[in-house]
Amino acid sequence: MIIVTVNDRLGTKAQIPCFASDPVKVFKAMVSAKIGRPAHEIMLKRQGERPFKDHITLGDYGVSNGVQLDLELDTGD
Amino acid sequence: MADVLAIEEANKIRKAMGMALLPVPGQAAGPTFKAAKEAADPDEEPASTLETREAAGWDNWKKLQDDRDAKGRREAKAAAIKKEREKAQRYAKLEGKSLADEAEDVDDLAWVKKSKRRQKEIAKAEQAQREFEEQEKQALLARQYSEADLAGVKVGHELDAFGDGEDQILVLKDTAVDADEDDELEAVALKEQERLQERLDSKKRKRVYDPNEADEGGQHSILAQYDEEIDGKKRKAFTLDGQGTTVESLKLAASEGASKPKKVAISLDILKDDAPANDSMDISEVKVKKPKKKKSKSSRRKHVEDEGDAFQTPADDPAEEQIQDEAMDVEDDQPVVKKVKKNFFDESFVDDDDLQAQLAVQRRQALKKRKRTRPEDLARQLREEASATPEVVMDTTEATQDDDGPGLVIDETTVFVQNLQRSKTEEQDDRRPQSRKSRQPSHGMGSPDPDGDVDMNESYAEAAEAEDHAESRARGTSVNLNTTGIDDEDLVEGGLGATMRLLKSRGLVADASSGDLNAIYRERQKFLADKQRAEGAAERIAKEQRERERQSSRWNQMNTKEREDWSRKKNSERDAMESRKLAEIFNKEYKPNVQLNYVDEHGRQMNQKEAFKHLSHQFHGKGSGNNKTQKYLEKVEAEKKKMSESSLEATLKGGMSNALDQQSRKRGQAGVRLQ
Repeated sequence: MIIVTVNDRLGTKAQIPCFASDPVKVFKAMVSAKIGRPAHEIMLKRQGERPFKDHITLGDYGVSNGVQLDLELDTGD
Repeated sequence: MADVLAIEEANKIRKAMGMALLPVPGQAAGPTFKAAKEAADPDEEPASTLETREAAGWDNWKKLQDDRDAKGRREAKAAAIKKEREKAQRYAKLEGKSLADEAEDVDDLAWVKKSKRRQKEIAKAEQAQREFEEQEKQALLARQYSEADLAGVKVGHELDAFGDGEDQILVLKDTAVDADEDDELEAVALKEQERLQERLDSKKRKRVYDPNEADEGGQHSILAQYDEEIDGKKRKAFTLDGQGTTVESLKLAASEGASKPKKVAISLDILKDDAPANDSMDISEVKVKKPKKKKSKSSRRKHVEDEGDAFQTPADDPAEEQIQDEAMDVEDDQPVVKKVKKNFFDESFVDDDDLQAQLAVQRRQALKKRKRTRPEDLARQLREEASATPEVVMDTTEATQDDDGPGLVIDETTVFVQNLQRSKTEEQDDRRPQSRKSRQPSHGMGSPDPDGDVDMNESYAEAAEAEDHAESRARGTSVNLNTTGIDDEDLVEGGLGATMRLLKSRGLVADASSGDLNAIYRERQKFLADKQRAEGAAERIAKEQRERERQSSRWNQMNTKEREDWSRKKNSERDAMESRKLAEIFNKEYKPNVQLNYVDEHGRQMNQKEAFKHLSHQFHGKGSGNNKTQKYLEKVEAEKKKMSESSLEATLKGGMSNALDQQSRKRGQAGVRLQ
């Protein structure tokens, strides 16, 4: 189990326990449950990189325990 | 830190999504079958697959967490211990007796006494201190700070930098604390000034060698301009010695006293000369050398050299030279003639020098004879000439013309003078030809035959007509000659020579340098002759060879075909040789004389420009316009007219007027004087 921090640097910061084998989509669902924003409006990315895709796991993106991800608003395009 | 609650929250969501539940810490319940499995097969490498690693995740996380907790606990314990120790130390300081504890238990009286005594002691100590300070002050006052205190202190400036009447405040120079230099004083203002000066100097372009630089010391180091780079900047400093002077100046004085020689006073009285100066020299003192007379020998030699080496004189032998000089005295004109001859032949006649020299000698001798004739002889000669034929007259006149030089020079002037002389002679015998003509009426005088042959083809009537014509012409000429003294113009019908003369006199035919033309013609003829000779020789040789071959035994043995081949081969060989020879001659001697002559439709010679124009017009198939053509035709007309007009036409340029013009221009007079 790893604990991943998501932070939008505007005041929302949450720590989510998950597995590294979880797809990004599941992770987003857990984030949405934590911060109260619909999952399809969540965009996750490492700082300065491209946004994570839903069907790829966190482990594939190299996310491990204690990693902080950027939380942004996904407008759908 | 995700706590149990958060994990349980997350587990709820995961459960809804059908994902694997997160392990809840501290809750062993749940499907924990991994440990048994791990224990079951110890041979499997731990964490070799993703699943085993993820299963070991919790344990790892727990271990990490435990470690972190343990560390936290340890640190907290260490901090508590430290705190305790510090606290103990603080209290330990306060241990021991306090003042109150230390004090003996005495009564108040005793304490007062004691305190009084203590006060007295204190006062005494203060007194002693005061006295000591007083003494110190006294000593300080006694010891005045003076020049002597500055002995051995370096000052970082030149001595001259301190101007008179100016107070400079010197301060200790800024140096590093650990620098093992002595204290050095410097004036801030002066330092600033020096720096400024240095900057200005560096801006100036420094010359390597300055000849204007005064060289007083006499000991310049070699390549002085690099001294600064090698040894570093020279620092100007002096050291005070405590007596108002500097150490350096003392040293300098000492060294100068040793090295410099003592100056010797020289009185300048010798320059004051009491005697008044006299600029002019006494005549008795002056000696003038007489200039030596030049030797006459040298000049004579020079003269001989002037005559040149080509012209052989017996100058080498002094005796003969003497003779030659005498000869020159006697007949003055001979050497002059010789010299002229030399120059003339050297320049104009390149080939057959010997012949020309011979001719020249003959001509000169004849000339001398003629010159020596006395006036009466001349008169007689003239009379004889008058009776003789015009050809003879021509000859004599030519001979008289020859007086000027060895060659015959004909120009307008000579022709003119010649005409004058001839008119005189013809005046004398103008009656005689008439009488002769009357005696011989059948003679055709109009015919150009010089020997007076009668043209037998002419009819009698024609002959008579010609006679009449001749008479009238003769009369006309005589009249003409009487009035103007100028010969009649030659007529075209007078023959080729007359025509040529006519054209020449009018300047229509350029008097080409006949010498050159002759030489070229001769050369060409020689070349042609050489060529012909070579060809002839080759042919002869070929014939002989052929004959020889025919008679050889080998020829007889060959059959016809072989003979043909043989002779063909031989012929081609001979041809090759011959053509080679000819080519050699050609290369050596053939000098073509190429002249491009263009003649237009009017029969005029075109010059280069005109020819180009003509060709251009032909090429482009388009001629000049109307105006230009008109102009051109006019020009041609004018030329024709000029050609055909008489030489006596004075108004226009042409014929006689050319000569007149030339003469008048030469003399600067308008017109020619007729004797």
